[in-house]
Amino acid sequence: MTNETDEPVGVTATQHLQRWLPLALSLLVLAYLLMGVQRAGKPEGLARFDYDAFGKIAVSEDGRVKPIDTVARNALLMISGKQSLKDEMLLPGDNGVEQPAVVWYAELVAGLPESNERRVIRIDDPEVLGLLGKTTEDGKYYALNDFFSDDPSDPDAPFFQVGRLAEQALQVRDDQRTRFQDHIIGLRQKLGTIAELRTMLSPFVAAPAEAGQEWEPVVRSRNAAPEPSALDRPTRATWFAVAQALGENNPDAFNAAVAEHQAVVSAAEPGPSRKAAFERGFNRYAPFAKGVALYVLAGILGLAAMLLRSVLPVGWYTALWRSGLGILVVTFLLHTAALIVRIWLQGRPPVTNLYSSAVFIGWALVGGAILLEKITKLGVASFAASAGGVATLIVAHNLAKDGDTMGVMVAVLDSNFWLATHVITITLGYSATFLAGFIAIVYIVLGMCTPVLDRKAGRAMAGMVYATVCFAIVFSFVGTVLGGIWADQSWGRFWGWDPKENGAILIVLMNAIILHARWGHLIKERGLMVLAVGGNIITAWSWFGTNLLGVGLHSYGFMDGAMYWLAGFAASQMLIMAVALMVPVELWWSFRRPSKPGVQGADSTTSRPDPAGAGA
Amino acid sequence: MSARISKHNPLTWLASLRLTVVLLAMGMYLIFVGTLAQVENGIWWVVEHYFREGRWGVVQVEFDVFRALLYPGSEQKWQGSHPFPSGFVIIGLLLANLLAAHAMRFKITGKGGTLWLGIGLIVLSSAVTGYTVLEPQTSARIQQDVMLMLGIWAVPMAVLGVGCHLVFGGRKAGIVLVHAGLILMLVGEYITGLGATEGRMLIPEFGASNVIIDSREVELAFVSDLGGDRQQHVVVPEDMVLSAHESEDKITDEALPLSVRINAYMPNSVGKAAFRNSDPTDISWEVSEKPTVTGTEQSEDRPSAVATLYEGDERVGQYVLSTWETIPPARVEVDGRVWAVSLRFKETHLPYTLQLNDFSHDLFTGTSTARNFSSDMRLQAANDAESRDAYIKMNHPLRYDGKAFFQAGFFQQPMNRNLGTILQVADNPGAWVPYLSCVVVTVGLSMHFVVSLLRYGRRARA
Repeated sequence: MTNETDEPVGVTATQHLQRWLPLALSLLVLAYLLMGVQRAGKPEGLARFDYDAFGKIAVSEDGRVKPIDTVARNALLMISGKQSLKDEMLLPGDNGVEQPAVVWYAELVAGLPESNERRVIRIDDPEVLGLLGKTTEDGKYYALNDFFSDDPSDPDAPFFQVGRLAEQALQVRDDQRTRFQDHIIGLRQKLGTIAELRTMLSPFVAAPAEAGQEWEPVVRSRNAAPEPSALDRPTRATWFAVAQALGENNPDAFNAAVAEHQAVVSAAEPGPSRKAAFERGFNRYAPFAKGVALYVLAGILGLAAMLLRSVLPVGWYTALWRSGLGILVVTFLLHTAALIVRIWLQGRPPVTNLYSSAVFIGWALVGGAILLEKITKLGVASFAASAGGVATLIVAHNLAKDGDTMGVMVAVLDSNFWLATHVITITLGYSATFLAGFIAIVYIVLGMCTPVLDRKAGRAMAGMVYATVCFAIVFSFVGTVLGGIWADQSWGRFWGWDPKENGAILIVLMNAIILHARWGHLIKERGLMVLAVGGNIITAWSWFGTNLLGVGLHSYGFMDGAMYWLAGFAASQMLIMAVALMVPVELWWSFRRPSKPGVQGADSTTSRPDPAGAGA
Repeated sequence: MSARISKHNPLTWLASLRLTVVLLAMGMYLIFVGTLAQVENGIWWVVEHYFREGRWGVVQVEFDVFRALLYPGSEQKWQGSHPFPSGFVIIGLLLANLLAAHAMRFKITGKGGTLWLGIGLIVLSSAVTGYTVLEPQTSARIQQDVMLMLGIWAVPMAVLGVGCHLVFGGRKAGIVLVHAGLILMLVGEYITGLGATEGRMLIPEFGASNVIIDSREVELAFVSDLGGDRQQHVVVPEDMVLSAHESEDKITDEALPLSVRINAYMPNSVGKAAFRNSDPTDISWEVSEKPTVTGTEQSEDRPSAVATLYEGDERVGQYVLSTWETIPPARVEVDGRVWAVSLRFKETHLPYTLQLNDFSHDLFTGTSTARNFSSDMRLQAANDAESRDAYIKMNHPLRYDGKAFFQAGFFQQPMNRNLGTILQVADNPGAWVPYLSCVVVTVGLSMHFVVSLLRYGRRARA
């Protein structure tokens, strides 16, 4: 390894490779991401029908103007758990090719027979399946047809049974419902969503024709009749032309009708229309799905760097480490760009609901870890950040099943100033506490299960955790106080002991405990790590647990199982803490005393790259 | 650092970081169980029982609070509880711990002239800041305008930082300020606990009101018209009502036109009308008890009572008194004056009125989610010259008479379906404290950060 540096002239080919490989890999990833942008603009689906243009049409749903593509994706996600038609949901006519969600929406709106045959309704509960005369062996996906018998007026058709049973279940207090009742209510919601889409009650497609008007549905409903003005808006005629062309299976007429409708809507609402079209591209680009894949890649490289640090020659180690970090940085740029696009689309600071908090926590966690990695150069922060990035984006993906991720804000939260200050700082506090906790887990696992954690690296990691906890306490404290000030400004009460406030102060106290224990020399490296892992539990509790208390177990999709996920997460962290505490340090693989005298821990690191700033 | 001080010195123990950590952990536990307790109890009950009070500084943590966490949905209540120090005790010990730590470990490093200059600056800046919050007019001004408040405090706070730096030295000055700010914040919460009042005003469109209602407390009220639009209110506060119910004694007082015996008291109730003799105008009311509202429910307790009224020793009759507006007060004539007797939420009557000219709220298109609420008000002051129009909306309160009136919500009148506004009224003498403590902590943290950074830089260069 050392002979390379003895070479008097120039650099060898190997050194060239080691120097340029990381950059080349990062550029490759960047090129892949940029090509994706270009691809997101191209048509998809059945070539003859321009579903791409159809998906871009602006509509209004739940108080927000968005593209049809978003409406279709969110509805399909809520009903089937997927954002596009694939596997069981495909029909023979699709030739086994995955179809975008707008295809399903188009079939529904046009009332095509396909819409009754697509198996898009996911049912997990065996008792509910029993209503359809099915068992779990028949699969989880069912079509509308499965809910009706041959006699359309049969009052005992599963569709009507579900309605009746759900009505009854809703009378029961939410924490007293049986699992069956919970699932029946969930199923009724799914069927209700399909019905709303099919009857065109939602989304609202009639754009305002003149100033002062609102978006309206194109049909009259029993509950809320549309404004008479909506009935003679030009968008009504153009919209029905679109539906009719679909019904007649006439691609040319469909494409022309879509173009015409789009032109009318764009003329009426140019700004929102442009944003909607962009949002459609953003959806197709799926930056967070790409992000998960790339974070996994960066994590593997970080892990390899971490494990092979003492085995690899310096040059190769550096190349590996830089490759991991380079890909992490590129992925972070993607994450950043996606956040900025969401801020622009929504016209709001980045965190407005649980979904966006997950995305933002992941972003801040990775950003902080990149800084730490630049200082410590161990691969540890890269790996922790990648794991955190993957975990938070997966959490976000599951939260998206609750509906629109860019939904409107209720009046009291409608303050961009406080969303930008209080919410951002408190979320940064979550991120920092998680980052410290993740690094601590890496320390514990490396120390116990591998021989690679030497004293220097251990000290460097303790330094990282300590510094991160310092940041965490500042952000969580300032964020909590800002929250109090917001409350004082909004309803004259600085502190009200409400669960979310209590959760925030718990994080502050946890970090204060870590710091004071450290200052008082009550804990050393291991104790610091164990407490930092405890910070994960507290943060997860503040983030989700306090919401679950109020929500109970009645909601559908992700939140349904969230309590169990949360409990599982807490249990896993406690297990790590307990094992780390109970196994004496002498038995940790990395800290076992060397049997031969003369080979001492500190000396064995001389051939390794010096982690600059370690232990700072 | 404290090696010279004997280990047996009780101060050493009191000042130890070990005690700090233990107390912080105890605080965490109390806050955690206090959060869980809100699943089954109202938030104000929890605040009183877990955080603020407790008999002899001890609260009883019910094992039942863990049911919501471990077996959600199970109906069987868990028995038993364990004692735990109350929030006040923990905070008090933390303060003692903090002060002892500063007394023992934080040495004054300034000497001679520097020291005296530092002390002088600290005293001066504290005095100036103290003046801004204690002098009523300035205090009112700065509480209306946060930016003005921060602007006024900027110079004294900078001076305070310099003073601390001179007295305690670079390494400790920031920490001293951070802790001073925290102490101030805890003191502020104490003042709030003692002195803050809050309540609500419900004003229908085109109507006016001068009554603030605090639904956390009830009172027994005797109201009689004095002619014109003047009324006489004589009230019995809640704790007297409750103790009279417990002791089964009559409530008798010179100021009261009647004596009262509380036969039954329900902290939360439902009312039911019964028609006597099938006559729709002859209604009698029945109330029955209901479990109290928990922290996760969006409603409030509606207490009711059954009371017997006496004129002297002579029994007048038994009545259902309730905070439900639908249940009318008992009307009793005493010496030619009609008294309306009712159990009502605690009222505060202002010497001025607020009139609602227009209430508006916009919904997001196609949803029932409110985009905003706002109230066009007329403030009718006792002194006519001060009367003015006021516009209240979410995050934009009206501040008058030391109180802040916030837009909280709206209601719909059952009769004519007209809207009315709900204003949250807060009067907190300690409202400025968290702001000041926040500024002090921020100054301390910034100083500590800069000093640590400089030290790190020096070490890195060396």
